[in-house]
Amino acid sequence: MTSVSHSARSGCLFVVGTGINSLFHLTPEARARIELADIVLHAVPDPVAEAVIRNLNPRNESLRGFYGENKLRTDTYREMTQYTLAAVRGGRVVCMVFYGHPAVFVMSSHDAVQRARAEGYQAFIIPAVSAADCLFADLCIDPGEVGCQTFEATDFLLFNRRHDSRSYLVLFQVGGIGELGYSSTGYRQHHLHLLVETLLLEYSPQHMIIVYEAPTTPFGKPRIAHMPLGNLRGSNLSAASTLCVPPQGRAEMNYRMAQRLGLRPL
Amino acid sequence: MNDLGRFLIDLGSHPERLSEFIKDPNAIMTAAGLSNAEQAILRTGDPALINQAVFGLMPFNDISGARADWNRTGLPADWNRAGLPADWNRAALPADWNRAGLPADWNRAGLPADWNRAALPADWNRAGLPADWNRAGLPADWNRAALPADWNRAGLPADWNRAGLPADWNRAALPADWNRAGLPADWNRAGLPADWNRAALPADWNRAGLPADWNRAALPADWNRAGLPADWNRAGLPADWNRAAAAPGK
Repeated sequence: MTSVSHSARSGCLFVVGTGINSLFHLTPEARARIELADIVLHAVPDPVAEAVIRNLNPRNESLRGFYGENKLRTDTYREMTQYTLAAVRGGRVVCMVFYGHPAVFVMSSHDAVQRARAEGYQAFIIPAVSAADCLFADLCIDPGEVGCQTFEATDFLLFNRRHDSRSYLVLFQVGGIGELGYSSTGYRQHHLHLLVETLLLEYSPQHMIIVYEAPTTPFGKPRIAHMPLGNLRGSNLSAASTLCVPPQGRAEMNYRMAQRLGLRPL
Repeated sequence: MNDLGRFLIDLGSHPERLSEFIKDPNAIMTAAGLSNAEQAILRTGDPALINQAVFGLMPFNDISGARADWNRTGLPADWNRAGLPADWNRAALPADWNRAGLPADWNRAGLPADWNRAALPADWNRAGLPADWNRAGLPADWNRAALPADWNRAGLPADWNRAGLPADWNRAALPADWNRAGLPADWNRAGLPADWNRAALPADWNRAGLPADWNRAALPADWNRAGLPADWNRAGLPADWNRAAAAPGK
């Protein structure tokens, strides 16, 4: 837990997350930060989670109104940051609440914390449950076993990210590749073929992949759809879809390194 | 807020209650007074059904978690969240509105849950809503669409698909420039017009409740900043709207 006390009233910022399955994943610390804040600013898509936040602290405002149709998400996040910092500068203990993990795929949280710190305020991001955490649990993947590389799907393509196909490859936001704006009606997925094309440089069309979506409700079940890579374009993706590409082949042990580490090969 | 909503908020707000639920969900749901139907909805694990049962909401689809089929439908987010304003019930609706068979809980329960599962026409997204939406109701294509079998069970009137919005809407005293200007191009596909966010409300908005030209009227300038009020879904248009322009910065 962060060591800063809520008794400090010179303005500070805590950024927390609801987790993916909000009712189950809201951590005790996140709940406490929400309850104790002077003002809670939230941007959560789950209306039940939003109702819980409102119940925990009546001093709250939604940041969702900053979203606009076809508006660049970066602009939205910048405005959220500005609005939040104004509250911090007013000397209040501010708690921002985001869906999932507040440090994972949430530009505003990083931006707000960095700017608040730069202005001399105390600011913290509190860990939460992310989609990656749910994926590891639901797919029974231990990222320490053969390794796991994660990328945001558009970033993966745009920057020609290199990865080791002998480890897991996890690509987030595959349902919105190349979509930088906000769309209330979902994304067109018209660039999905570019991802498939890129992955086919490394994997065969028959390589089995997994489309995963974490459950978001108490009785919810994860979506775990196994399919050949070549069939990905015909799959049904949403903004919540994550693509998991299992390893292809096994890495060979570096015996010289093992020797230098004083390890004996099994 | 109904029992299911109160139950979920209680779970999320009190860890000890959540522990009890995890230990014996059936007993806790029953003890909380949830009906069999409410328990069944919760057991589906379907966020769309749950949100609709509690708030009359459809899932929000940007940040996370939207159902894949929701996105394909192209329904605007604002509409999903708000449903038809509750105030519409009190306003001067056509006398036959109720007789037309719109379910009593329409305003609170939003669109029928079955819409999430419905196989909408293939050309829905490509074509968008037709230009005659404003005057002639729902797209003519809907007449030909293979609507789901449970469409009627959802409670929409039988003639909804064929006749579009209630017939009286077509005869209503819409603003003279309604037809000329039409609604902004993104209304049908993208929810409330973007311009609404930037404009000011008409002067007679407060005095007259929903003005006759509400379709043209703009939302408060701070709409985006303030977010939708908590009671929007249940109580219709924000109460503040009736009192005046919202306070700056809210």
